[in-house]
Amino acid sequence: MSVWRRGSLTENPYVRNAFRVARLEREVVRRLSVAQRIGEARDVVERDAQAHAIAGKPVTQEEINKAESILHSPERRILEELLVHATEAPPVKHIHRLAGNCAAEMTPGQTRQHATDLSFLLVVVPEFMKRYLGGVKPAEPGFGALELDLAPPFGQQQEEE
Amino acid sequence: MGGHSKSLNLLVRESLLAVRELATRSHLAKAWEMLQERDREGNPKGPLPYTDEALEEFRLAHEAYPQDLGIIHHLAIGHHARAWDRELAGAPGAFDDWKRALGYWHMLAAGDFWSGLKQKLKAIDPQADAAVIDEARRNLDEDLLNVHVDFVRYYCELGRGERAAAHVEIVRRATIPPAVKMRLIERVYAAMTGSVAEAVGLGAYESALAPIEQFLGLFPEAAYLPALRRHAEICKAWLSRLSHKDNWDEILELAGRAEGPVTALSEHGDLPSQPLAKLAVDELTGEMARRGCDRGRAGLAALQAGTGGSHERDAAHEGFEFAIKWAKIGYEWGRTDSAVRQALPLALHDRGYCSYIGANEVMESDVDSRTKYASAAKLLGAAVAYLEEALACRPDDETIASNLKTLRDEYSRLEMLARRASLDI
Repeated sequence: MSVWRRGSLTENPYVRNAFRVARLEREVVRRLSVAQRIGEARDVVERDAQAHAIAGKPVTQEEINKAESILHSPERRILEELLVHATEAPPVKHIHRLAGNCAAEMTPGQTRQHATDLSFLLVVVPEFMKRYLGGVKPAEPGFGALELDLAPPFGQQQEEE
Repeated sequence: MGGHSKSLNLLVRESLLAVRELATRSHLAKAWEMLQERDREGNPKGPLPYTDEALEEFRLAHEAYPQDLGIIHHLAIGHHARAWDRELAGAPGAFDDWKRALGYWHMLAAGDFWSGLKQKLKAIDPQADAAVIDEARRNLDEDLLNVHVDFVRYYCELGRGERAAAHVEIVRRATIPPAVKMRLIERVYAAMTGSVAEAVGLGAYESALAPIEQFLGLFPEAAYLPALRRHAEICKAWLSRLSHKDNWDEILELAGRAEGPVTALSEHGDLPSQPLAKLAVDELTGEMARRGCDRGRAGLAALQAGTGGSHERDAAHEGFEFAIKWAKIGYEWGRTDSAVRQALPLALHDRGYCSYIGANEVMESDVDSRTKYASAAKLLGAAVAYLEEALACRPDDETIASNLKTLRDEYSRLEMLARRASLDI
């Protein structure tokens, strides 16, 4: 039975998926962490049957049990992920690394990738966005991001000088 | 200085790309925020499968990175979930969402979305069987379309044919391998015709035929043999309760419904290897032909007894023509001793006999010789043609052979008289 037809046809399979029922993000993979989060969800429902609701309908212990059996089976869990959005966040890690490198370039003697003061980004990033982002052609997915041409003066033109 | 400038260039280049990525990813981060279900205090409780605003942000992100399978997965989930809700609520836009969602899932099936899942599965448990992911990918289209098959069944049970038809349309138009489509068609057929057996048991033939005809109307190109066969079987069962004497109009109506499907069945490429389907053709066409013969003979008997008029003559002609048409549909598939095999030569012979009687009536009429001979010769010519065809069906039948000889002689005589009458003028 596919993940879309496990339950009743009149229940949207995406709404009460195992991750949501267990209050678990798709990114949590360690068995111990998964078990811990399921236990927490169970405690919440045990303390107050109305405390954990999805789309206005309280989650039951039976639902948590079902979710647990799915999440503790690697094969079933991975298929359940088809129903669940991946967590999205701005790529701050990358920006952090770049900021470190920029700071290292600007401050002689400082090691690259270890800067922690990101305050200069408040100036640099909006300026980049304002000056260049609007003028740059959209990414060409066939070539990938690294093949993009930069707009002058930082692109081809300057390298030729 | 040159080296410093170069690494700065590189940094600026990387920064610019990072800002671009940030701008795009900000749509995703924003969408993620918009998915969060929140409590009264505004604290997130967990993500919903979709919100309209989040879908718009995912769409913008997809525009910027059309090949990004993660974004496509977001869109597949969002549109599929919204389609489901709209479907259940009877809200407009469900079908647009279904189609979009299936499109996005199809893109995922074709893309490298699955290797990421395999890696993750191995990270969760190195002993886990990754074949489950290959299987999920292989069956993805079929699994998703099965949802629509189930909706067909659901709506058929509720008697909401128009909603069922919309889901059938999704299955019908799906770009999938023929074998998969046939499996889905089989399931749709089973879903739509779940009530047929009970209706037949109750003798409610109209109710039994309706869903099969609806199915055949939705999949005309499929020429699904089990549906055609079942249709023929039910028509035959219905027909067996109708008599030519009391229910001729009903028989004609039923024949009108049965002719298309049974003709399609008789011409079906798989029929030779399907004995039950062959039997269904044989029995239905034989039964129809028999009814036609019965009606024709009733009219003919009245004409022979001298009690019939134009109504009886018309009934005889109509009955035999009806019998000939139906017998010809099933003749090829009829068993040696079956009704359809017996009916065709008899109907042809008797139809010829009707023409012969017509010719005699003309000869006894008061019209001028030229018209009389010409009309009678024409009728006899037709009678000869009918009997020739009857003899071709049954070459060893001495009665037909003898009658044919008589008719041919009579025809030659009349032709000669007609020619003479013509020359006299």
